[in-house]
Amino acid sequence: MFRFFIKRVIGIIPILFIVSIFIFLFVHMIPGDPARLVAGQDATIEDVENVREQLGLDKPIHVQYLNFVDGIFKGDFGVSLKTSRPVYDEIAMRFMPTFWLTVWSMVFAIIFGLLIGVISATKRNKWQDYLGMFGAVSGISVPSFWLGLVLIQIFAVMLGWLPTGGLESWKSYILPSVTLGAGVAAVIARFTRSSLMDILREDYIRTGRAKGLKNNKVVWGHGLKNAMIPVVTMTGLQFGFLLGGSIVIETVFSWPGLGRLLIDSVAFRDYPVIQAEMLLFALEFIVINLVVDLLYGFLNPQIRYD
Amino acid sequence: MTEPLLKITDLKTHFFGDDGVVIAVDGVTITVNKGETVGIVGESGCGKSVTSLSIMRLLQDTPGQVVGGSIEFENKNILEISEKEMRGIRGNDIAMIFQEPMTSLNPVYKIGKQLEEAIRLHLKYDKKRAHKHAIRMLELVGLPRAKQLMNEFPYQLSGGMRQRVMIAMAMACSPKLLIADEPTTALDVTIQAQILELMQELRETSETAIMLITHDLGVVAEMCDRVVVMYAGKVVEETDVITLFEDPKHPYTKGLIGSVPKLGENAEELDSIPGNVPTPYNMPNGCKFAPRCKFAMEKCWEIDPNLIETENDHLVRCLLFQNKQVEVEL
Amino acid sequence: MSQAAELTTDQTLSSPEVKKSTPLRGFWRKFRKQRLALVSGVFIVLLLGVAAIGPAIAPYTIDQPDYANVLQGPSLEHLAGTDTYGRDIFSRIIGGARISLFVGLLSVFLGAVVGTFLGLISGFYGKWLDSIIMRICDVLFAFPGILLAIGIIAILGPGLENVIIAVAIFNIPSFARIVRSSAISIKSTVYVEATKSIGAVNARIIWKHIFPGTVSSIIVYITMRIGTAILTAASLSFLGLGAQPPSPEWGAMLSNGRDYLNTAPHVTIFPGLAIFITVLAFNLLGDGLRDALDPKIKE
Repeated sequence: MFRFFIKRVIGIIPILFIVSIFIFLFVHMIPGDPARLVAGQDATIEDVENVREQLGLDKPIHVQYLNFVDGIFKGDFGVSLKTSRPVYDEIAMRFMPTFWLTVWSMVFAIIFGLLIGVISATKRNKWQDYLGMFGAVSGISVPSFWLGLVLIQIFAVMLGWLPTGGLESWKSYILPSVTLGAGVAAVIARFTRSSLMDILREDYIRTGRAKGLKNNKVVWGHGLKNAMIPVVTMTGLQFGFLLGGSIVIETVFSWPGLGRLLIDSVAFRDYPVIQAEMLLFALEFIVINLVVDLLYGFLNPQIRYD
Repeated sequence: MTEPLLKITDLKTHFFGDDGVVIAVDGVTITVNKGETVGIVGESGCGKSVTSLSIMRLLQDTPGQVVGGSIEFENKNILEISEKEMRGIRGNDIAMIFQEPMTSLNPVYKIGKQLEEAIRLHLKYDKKRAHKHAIRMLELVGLPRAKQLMNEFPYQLSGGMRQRVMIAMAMACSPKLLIADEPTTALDVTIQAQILELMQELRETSETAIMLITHDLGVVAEMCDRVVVMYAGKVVEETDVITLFEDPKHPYTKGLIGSVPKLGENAEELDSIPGNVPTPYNMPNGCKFAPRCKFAMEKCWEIDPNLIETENDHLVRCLLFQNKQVEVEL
Repeated sequence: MSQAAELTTDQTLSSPEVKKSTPLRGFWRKFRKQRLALVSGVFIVLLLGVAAIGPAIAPYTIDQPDYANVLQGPSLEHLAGTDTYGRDIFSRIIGGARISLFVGLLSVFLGAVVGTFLGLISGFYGKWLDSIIMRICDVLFAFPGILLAIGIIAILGPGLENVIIAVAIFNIPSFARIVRSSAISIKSTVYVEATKSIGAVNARIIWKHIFPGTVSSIIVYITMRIGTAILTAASLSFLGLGAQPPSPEWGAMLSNGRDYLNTAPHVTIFPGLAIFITVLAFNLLGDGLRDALDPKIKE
């Protein structure tokens, strides 16, 4: 188990390396002179040169990269062009709202996705299955921002049960989490269905039934634990979708998180913030995939001991 | 010893697939007495496995459905009892061993857990007692290091060991009837002999009746008291094991016996009978065996014969052994 | 029970001949069963028609303001109501179909072309070329799709053309992977081995023998990705990064209605519904095609 763990952790290092180069080059891919961009349109040539020196843009490119990596380890991502505050502070204060939003969306998605998937698989080709799967394909097809607005219209504007946006109490989490989780719930439901349907054809399921076990125990115990192995992998990949989706949803619900910061930064061309956010999102995504990989080993005994 | 334990009467099981209905079991009647070992013999596709799944009512994950007949177990028609009552019988009164030991154990649960599950369910033992009982069962089926095995996963065991675990699991609640569906087919020849020996031992030490499903007449000769030969969803011959080998009547049975080269050796394929079991889509009108039968007469293509008693306790479904009676029916 | 019958008697000779099935007929037989996919296919064809004729069949002009009829609810006159400038929303949705379909189809097509090319050479040549291409794909996969698109737009600037480029780029790695895996399996078949030994040029082998074998996967996957592409493009426009007002792009229209959610919800609801139904149709069609053509592809 330990060897497996170490192997996987070492395995992500090259990806991290390439991703960091990509993000480093990101600022350099912007047409025009980054120093002028930072200094502003009205700056004198002298000012621009000062900024260039300040940001280390006058140094050879590999030195710049090393400085960039060094900055990452020190938590130094530069200064926001918009607020003139350290990028680190800007991101830090918005990290937790986004974190909890994705966590609650995932919880919602997993509960509903598994439930619908298992029901569909066990009621194959019955109305429950058709309803569940039509709901799932709708969940994948619905524009999340539109779903969010419709939910706001119903539950906030018409019924007045929940806030329209912002982050004030636990109630504020409900609509954004449901909106963001709907697509992922749909994907999990479809995947669980097909995975469980394959598993329910296996011989050991028949063995379980031949023992006299209850159907629920066979499906939820023997079946689901096996079906979970691919589902966990896929669910992990969906985290990326949630991270991406949160960008849109945060704008809909005026959520004080990273996603809205990113959109504001793009509009303002606040490149240090964009760069740091891209890095953070990619890092989160890679770490989540690693966790999923480890979880996979935990679920599948054969891998655990290899 | 002639008290009937299981009485299958005119069982009909159909499969409702995408391309129409397939008749897998077509009016099968079999009786298993207490403590008796009955062999069900036939090629793959003859309906013998479906018959066993019908008895266990385990067709729910397949498109199969019992459409007629009755299955009486201890004088109770188990086709009519509730699913809850049936669960009380499965694994408790009737246990089953399957053909594929490699895939019949759940890969993500430890051996111990899989054994204890049925013990705790049916015998109502607490965790500790169930654990002890499970170890005893593993020892009973001749597995070494039973205690460690409890904590191992199926993939750590060989095929023969897994089949022993399956047998331990099936025997754990001292069933009245054990259905063994090709229990040795997937195993190496040497392991096959060991497993058969184990089953013989168990048969002698317990009161369990065994319904042994196989295509291997060597196994039948070694294990069984009575034999039922099936072909294309129907019983074609039924008699005691000695009569079957000494005086087989049905041409199909004769073919089967002729195809076993020597006793003790295992014939994987029965190539002395030309052709295959007919597919459901080109089922002959008359006798289902006629297309492959050396003795087929003209009327064999038209008349599907009945199962009749030729001698004492010797049933055959073949026009060679039927007289006017049949023609009257036409 | 599925073994082919090889009966040795004349019985077989008299049995009715089994209908020969061509791949196309087999596909049609399976696809016909998928009613929803069939309906979706018809809907998409109609939608393409609407997109082609566009404004000609719209009951009102698309961008003429009518300040006398601002923010009116749905009525017989204006089926989907009017927006903040008094423009007929139904007409604008019809006009916008062209944009959404164009963006969705073109971006996926571009991504498919580049991805297929990369996947083919990656699968065919293997070795270091394969490693490099696949590592790059891994990195592209390290970013959630829309984030990648936003990053690209941050560099290129907002606008519909850049949305197409961004969505195309994030489609590349998935196509590359799918095509690569089928290319590898086709490459190893004896058929291609034989062609190779005769001395055919590599490019010719790829184009004549490997590519045709990947086409069905590519078609299925294109259909499956169009829905997502339309959704992503609409999201970007909604965020103000794609199509800019007064364009009748559905996402942009929806964004425009956000401020009037309390008083005129129809301004957001109808364009959203248009996106929803269109994407749903593509996804259902994609599912149906996948089941009929290439059950190997999973999402």
